[in-house]
Amino acid sequence: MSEAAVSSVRRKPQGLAGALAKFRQWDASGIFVALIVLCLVLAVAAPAFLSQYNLSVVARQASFVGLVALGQTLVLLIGGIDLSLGAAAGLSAIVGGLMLTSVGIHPYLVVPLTACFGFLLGTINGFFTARLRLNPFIVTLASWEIFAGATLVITKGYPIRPLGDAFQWFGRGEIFGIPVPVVIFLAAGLILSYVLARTRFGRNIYAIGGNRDAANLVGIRVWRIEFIVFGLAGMLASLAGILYAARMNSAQPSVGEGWLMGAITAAIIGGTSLRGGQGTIIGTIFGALLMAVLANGIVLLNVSGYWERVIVGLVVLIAILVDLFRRR
Amino acid sequence: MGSFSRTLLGAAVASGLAMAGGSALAFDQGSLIKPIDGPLTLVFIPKVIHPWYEVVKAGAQAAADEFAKEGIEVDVRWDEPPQADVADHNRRIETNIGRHPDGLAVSCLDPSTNVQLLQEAVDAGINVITFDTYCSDDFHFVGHKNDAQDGADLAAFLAEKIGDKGKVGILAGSLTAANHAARVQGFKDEMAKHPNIDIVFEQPDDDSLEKAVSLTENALQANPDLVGIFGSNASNPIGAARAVDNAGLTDQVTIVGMDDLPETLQFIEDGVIAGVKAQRQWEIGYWAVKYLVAMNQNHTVPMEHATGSQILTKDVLAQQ
Repeated sequence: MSEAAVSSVRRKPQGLAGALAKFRQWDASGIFVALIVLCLVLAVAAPAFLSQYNLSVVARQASFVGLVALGQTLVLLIGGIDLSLGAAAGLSAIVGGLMLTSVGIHPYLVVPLTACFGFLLGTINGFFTARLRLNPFIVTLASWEIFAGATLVITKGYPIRPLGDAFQWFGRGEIFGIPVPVVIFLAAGLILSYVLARTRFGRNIYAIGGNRDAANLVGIRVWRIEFIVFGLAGMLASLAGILYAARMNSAQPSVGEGWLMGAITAAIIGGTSLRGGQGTIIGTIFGALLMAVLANGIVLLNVSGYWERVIVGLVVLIAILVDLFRRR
Repeated sequence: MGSFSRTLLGAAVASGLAMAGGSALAFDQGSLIKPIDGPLTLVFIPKVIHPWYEVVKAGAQAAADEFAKEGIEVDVRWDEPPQADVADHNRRIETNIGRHPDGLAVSCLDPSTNVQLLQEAVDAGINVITFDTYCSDDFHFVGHKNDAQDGADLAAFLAEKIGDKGKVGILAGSLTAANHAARVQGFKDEMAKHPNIDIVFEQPDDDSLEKAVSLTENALQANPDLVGIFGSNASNPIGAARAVDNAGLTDQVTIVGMDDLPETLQFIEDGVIAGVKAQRQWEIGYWAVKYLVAMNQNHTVPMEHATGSQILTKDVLAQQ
């Protein structure tokens, strides 16, 4: 870059240089660049990557873990963690499946009702962590076991299927060519971005994560906000679970088991701090996309299964390093 | 099917022309078979990375090598989930549909969700075979699906070994794996015919060797007079054997289970495991490749090829 461009940044950001400076200040720029680079590499190395079918598959895969990751981001922002989200997704899928098949509730009502159920599950964690001030790691470790166990008690390990044609639209349908779960994921991301940036509730979330005691002192009703955040996290996880069930036409007891670490990883590589108070929704969305693109690329490039987890770990490390250098 | 009916139409038109030419009506069925032009890519998706599939791989490679000699290049690729995770497994099937290989062989991890995606693969015009674990009559299957019978056979074998009386335990495998559940049910149904044998514990080991070891240790503590253990998968008889061996109870406890992993064979050789029902999974890999290539040639292939299983004991191994 020329000297003139640099000095123009110093005076008043304008044009391309200004945009670049703004971009570098943007919280999610590191993960965004990593995502774009990975996509470019794959587009060259694996022609199938850019096919419309493959892109919709990747986006849909990202949206399931992504919904859980959005919930995890909220909890991380208040300085907590929720280990039960994967299990909550599984249990919600089962309960939603039963609403459809055993109770006979209308398919369009099942998704919001399941979301309410997920909110309730989340508030169980919220009660113990926010009201009784117990360590969220321990509380959600316990509720993880209880939710996963309840799933097995209800199902005896058998899936609930079929769920019916009307219901499958939520998992397989498209709105303007975009898969429904992706639309719901992006909509949830947009709403949360707005809430975090523009509402008092959102600012309070950051305040609590930054310094809980200070937040208390300035009169923020901390426990109520924490309670609701855990509820929202449960709700987002339950959406992931029920949408996955709709995609597969089957509420499967083990669904959600593998989402916990993926969701935490997506949030963290998206720039959310484990210490609370720092992170963005857009970062998490990119994080979820990066993980899904990576998993897709591993299959497309036929990477040996034995190496796969090593590579995922390395890419996560690189993503964090890119972010570190950006901040310096 | 589309190409099949096109070929049929072509054959019909050709024979119609032949008739017009005045010669006898002839329909050369051999012309339905399409030559393989160019290399074929076959993708295998097992349930999880597991030594058991190494033998399937060897069989698949042997078939590919045979085709290579005939001048047909077959590239067998394995897309293996590092963990038995339903979402990850389904993601691989989905991604491979987009990749459109010449053949897709899937071992069903979760039949209820897998069938949905396998149907989408078939609809996309991909040749699909299920192997190892059966999931639906809608898809070709190469493997052994008589899981309940395996459990029953091992129950009868165990009953005979322990003199038809005493306490036995079950390592139930993964609660969400249909084949494990069927073996356990078969075992229990057979044991119901042996009134002097009590099943005193039944615990899921989640197909984890370490968990099978600790469950067996606990079971031996709770039931010092245990005389038999049934393992419902490939890893839990090894886990049980390690625990029983460590406790020095080899003479008291008779272990039966599934499959012939190297460590299992060693334990049979050492007299710690009495017998296992072993599948011929080399055959599964071999025939899956043969059939997928045949499907590309527009041959007919069986909906089901039962590769069977047999009880391996020290005596059987000594004969080899």
